[in-house]
Amino acid sequence: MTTVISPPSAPATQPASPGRGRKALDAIDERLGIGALEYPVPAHANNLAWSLGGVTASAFGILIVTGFILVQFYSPVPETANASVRHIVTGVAGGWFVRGVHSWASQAMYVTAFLHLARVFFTGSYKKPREANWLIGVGMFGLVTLGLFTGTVLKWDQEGFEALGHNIEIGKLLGGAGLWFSPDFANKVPILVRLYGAHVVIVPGLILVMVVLHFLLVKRHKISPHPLLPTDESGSQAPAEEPTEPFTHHLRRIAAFGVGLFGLLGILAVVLPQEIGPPPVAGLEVTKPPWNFWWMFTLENWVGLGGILYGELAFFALLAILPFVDRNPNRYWRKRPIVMILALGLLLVLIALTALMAVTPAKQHLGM
Amino acid sequence: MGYVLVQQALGHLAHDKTASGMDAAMEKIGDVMKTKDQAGVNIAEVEQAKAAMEAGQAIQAQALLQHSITEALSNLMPATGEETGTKVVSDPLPGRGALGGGGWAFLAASLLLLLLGSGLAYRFKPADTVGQLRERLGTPTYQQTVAKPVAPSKDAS
Repeated sequence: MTTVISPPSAPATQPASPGRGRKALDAIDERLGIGALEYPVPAHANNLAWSLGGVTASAFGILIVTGFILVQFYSPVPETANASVRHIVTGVAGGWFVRGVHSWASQAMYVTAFLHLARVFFTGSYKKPREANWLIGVGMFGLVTLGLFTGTVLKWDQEGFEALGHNIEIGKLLGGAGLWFSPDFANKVPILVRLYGAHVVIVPGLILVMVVLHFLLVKRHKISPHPLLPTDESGSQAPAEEPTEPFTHHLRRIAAFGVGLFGLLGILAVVLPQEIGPPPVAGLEVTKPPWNFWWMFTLENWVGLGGILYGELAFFALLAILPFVDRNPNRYWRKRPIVMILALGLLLVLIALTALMAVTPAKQHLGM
Repeated sequence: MGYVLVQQALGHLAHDKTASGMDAAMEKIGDVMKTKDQAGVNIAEVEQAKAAMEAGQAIQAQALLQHSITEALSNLMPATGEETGTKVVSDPLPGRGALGGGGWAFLAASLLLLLLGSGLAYRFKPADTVGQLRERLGTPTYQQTVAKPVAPSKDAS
């Protein structure tokens, strides 16, 4: 009897069982559709320079989280506002750290938003068809400036009160358009309360709305091509040959930058804590504004309060008209000499005006 | 208003206790003495404060000036509009006290987060640099483009 031994059958190849994390993500995706975020983006989008908008959003997130904590202890009433900030620093466990991170995060958001604008300018990413998104970005930068200003006032120290005084006078220069900034707009309510509302609701709410619009337009127009790399036939998109990565990888790297940014802000909060000035006194002008506003205040020293208003209007008007006057289709900076020279000139003027304020003592402008 | 002038003197002292701040405060005290509206201001205490300042005792002068407007402040209505609502003009407060255990813990945690974030950002860095992408896509450098302009095709008019 012959025994036929059949060869053992080859084991069927089976896909590896997904891990628990993958299963959880799949379950969430089935219900929320987060997999839609895995659309491809060009590989160059993961560079730090191309992630600055995301870093700005991270700073905004840190501001919202620390802001949630601060509003639990802040009193937006003139009689107690300054004392409540002092209480946050001296009487609330970890309050000084949260306030410090919030304060430094506002600076981080301003700086990264400016750098993001500068990167978009430098790489010509504002050009057709992305003009509208540039305008939204410029608008958001204006809101970041407004958030910085209102936050300065909320401390309700002499510096904040003087900043408010300037704003009220500038509101008068604007005539009817500046009515909201006038204490007469709602004269039974302290203007501090209204600015508090602007700081915690109006400004961040508008930023959130504009961020959503910004992201939707980035999705619609896709990530702009890198000026050192080829484009597709339209000239406005990365070529199909450029490698891609899922957008979730872009988000992952931005989250990593955000974690690092939080750490950096925490170190700054400990090493360079922000002082709280004396409670405000009417009729004094002995402080300087935050450095972000110095260039305007040098103009004020030269031409009066109008210097702040017209200087700022001119700055934002220049940013707003940029995509409509710069019709050069090239994105590479060397092929855009005129606009690059003009921008460098503007930047040098801003730096010079800022440096001048650094060496100039505070001067009396209000009520003059 | 007299009490506001006293507050302005206090404001100068709170910001600057050097000779410059003292001079500015002394000028305001002079204005208090001259103004007709001295309601709620204890002029005798203002004069004591002036003497204290002349003796270089800024902190004592601050206390006297603050006390001299107690009556005026007690009659103030809740602030509206752009009124300051300030009752006590205190000195600046540092952003934190001496660095204790909690402060060191925050510092260490922040440093860890910075390192973690930097490490993750490095780990998630793009596979290719822009230079490598240029090579993969066969893009000439700017210098090459300038040095070797594309020759016109034969049938170009």
